Amino acid sequence: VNVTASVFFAAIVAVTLGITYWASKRNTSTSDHYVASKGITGWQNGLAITGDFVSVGGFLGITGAIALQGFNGFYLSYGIPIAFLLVLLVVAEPMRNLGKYTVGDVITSRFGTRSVRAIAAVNTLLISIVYMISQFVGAGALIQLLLGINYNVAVVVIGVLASVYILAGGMLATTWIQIFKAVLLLSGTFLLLLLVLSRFDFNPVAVFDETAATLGDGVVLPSDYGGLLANLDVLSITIAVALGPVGLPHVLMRFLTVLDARTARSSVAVASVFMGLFFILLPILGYGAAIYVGQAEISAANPAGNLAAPQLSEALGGDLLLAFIAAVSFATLLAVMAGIVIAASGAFAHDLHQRVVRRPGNGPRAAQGGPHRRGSHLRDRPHPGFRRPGLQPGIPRHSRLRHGGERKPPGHTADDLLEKVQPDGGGERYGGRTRKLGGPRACKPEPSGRERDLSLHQPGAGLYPHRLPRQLLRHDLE
Amino acid sequence: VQQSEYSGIAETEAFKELVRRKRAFLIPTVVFVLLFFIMLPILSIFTDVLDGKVIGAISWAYLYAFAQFFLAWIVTFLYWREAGRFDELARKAREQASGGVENFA
Repeated sequence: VNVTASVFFAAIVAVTLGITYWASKRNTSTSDHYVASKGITGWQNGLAITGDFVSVGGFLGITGAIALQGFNGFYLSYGIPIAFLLVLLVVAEPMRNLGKYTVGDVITSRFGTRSVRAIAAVNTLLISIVYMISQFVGAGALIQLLLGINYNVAVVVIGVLASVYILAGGMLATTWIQIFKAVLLLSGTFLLLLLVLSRFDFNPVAVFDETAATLGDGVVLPSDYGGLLANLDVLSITIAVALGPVGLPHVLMRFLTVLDARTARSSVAVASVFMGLFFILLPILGYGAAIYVGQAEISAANPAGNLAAPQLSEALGGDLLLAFIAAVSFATLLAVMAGIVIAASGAFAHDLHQRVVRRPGNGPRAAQGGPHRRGSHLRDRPHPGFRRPGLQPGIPRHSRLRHGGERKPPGHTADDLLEKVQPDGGGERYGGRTRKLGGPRACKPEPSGRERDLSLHQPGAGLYPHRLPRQLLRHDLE
Repeated sequence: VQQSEYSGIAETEAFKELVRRKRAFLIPTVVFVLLFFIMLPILSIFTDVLDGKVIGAISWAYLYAFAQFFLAWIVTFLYWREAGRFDELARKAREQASGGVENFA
């Protein structure tokens, strides 16, 4: 048993539990639990996103891949900045503006059916489970290697730790653990980098030169992967690296923890600077490992090269640095695990259990927890675009008189009362329910997809819809 | 923004300008970024054009890969600047809407 490593690991666990204890006192409401009551600042969130991304896969995996395969290992890395650009340009602000607690909320606010929410939740769970398994495997292997604890025991201990973080500390704990780990990992990487560069008079080009001189040009040039299928396989992984992060639930959830679109934007900007610096410098660590540890030793320790970074730290800084880097990797695993667990728990508890299985009602109203009434005067207006063939023109006008004129506060209308009596919502959205009720709204057409677009803006939402509802615009100008 | 306000906002000149300018910025940028990105794996995996060494042992492939990081930083900066104007238009749209028709705030 490595005593230094044990001390570092214990310190990491102690700090994370301390953060959890601190957060638990502030973790009182549902909003606290899932999204830290939207109180995270841009810098904090940026570091937390960096933490989510700079995972063990990045740090250990890519360093090892570059050490063993040269440029061919870097393909796991150069998609990341593009991924973040896409997150910034396409998803960050709409996520913030449309979502409440989960990805399911965001999608439901545009397409208000229960099945869409269920699919979003199941997707979140599937992605999270796959991601979680790889974290478990990495953490178990690392602990077994350094502390000599049995693999199965290690996996159970980590699972319990992650559950404690989430149950007690919620999103606030997850975010701060992620920030703590991001700072640790970035400084650990920076330290290793300085140690490697110090042997080359701080000239990064010399690292490449030395590698090419000792290991051949093959390691600095891209090479064929062997056959069309293998090449297409690599191409497909590269595309997945660039496009996949745009849909990772535990990353998307981070945009729900900030106050407004501007903060969401600044958090991606902060993250892209730190993450870019991290990933662009990995080749130096990888080549450093290839030179000072040797490719044979790296693949002997792990065929995929996953231990290259710890091995490099041992070669350059001895036991102390090895223990530090291993402990940082462990903190990374714990923090990423916590992030995945809270995304998955939101999908399970908030989406699947609350809104699909128990189904208190459907649609965007259920998603936003509220005031659909405010929009009913828009929905109920007669418009050719909304009318289905065979419906009497003008009939929805009754409902406009009734609902548009009254403006009852949410929770006090007949429908809301009915919903309390019939907790299952009585059928497919407004159509089914109002038919049971009878009265003027009985003839109201079932909302089409276009109508639902109009009900996307709940209080507190930002100003940007994905696209302008032209139907509404033209009608209102008439 | 509440739904009742939304129709008012959607009518304003500032809002139309906002949507138009957002699209004019985002669509070409995203298309360019994706094309720039996908050319690297295609060229490095299927051709030899990036195989030459340029600075010391650093190959064209590495330079292209590093360029993706710089592209990301530059576009982030450009978008940041542009988004300030979007926010300004959004503020104007709210003002114009509340100064105009019915306001339930």
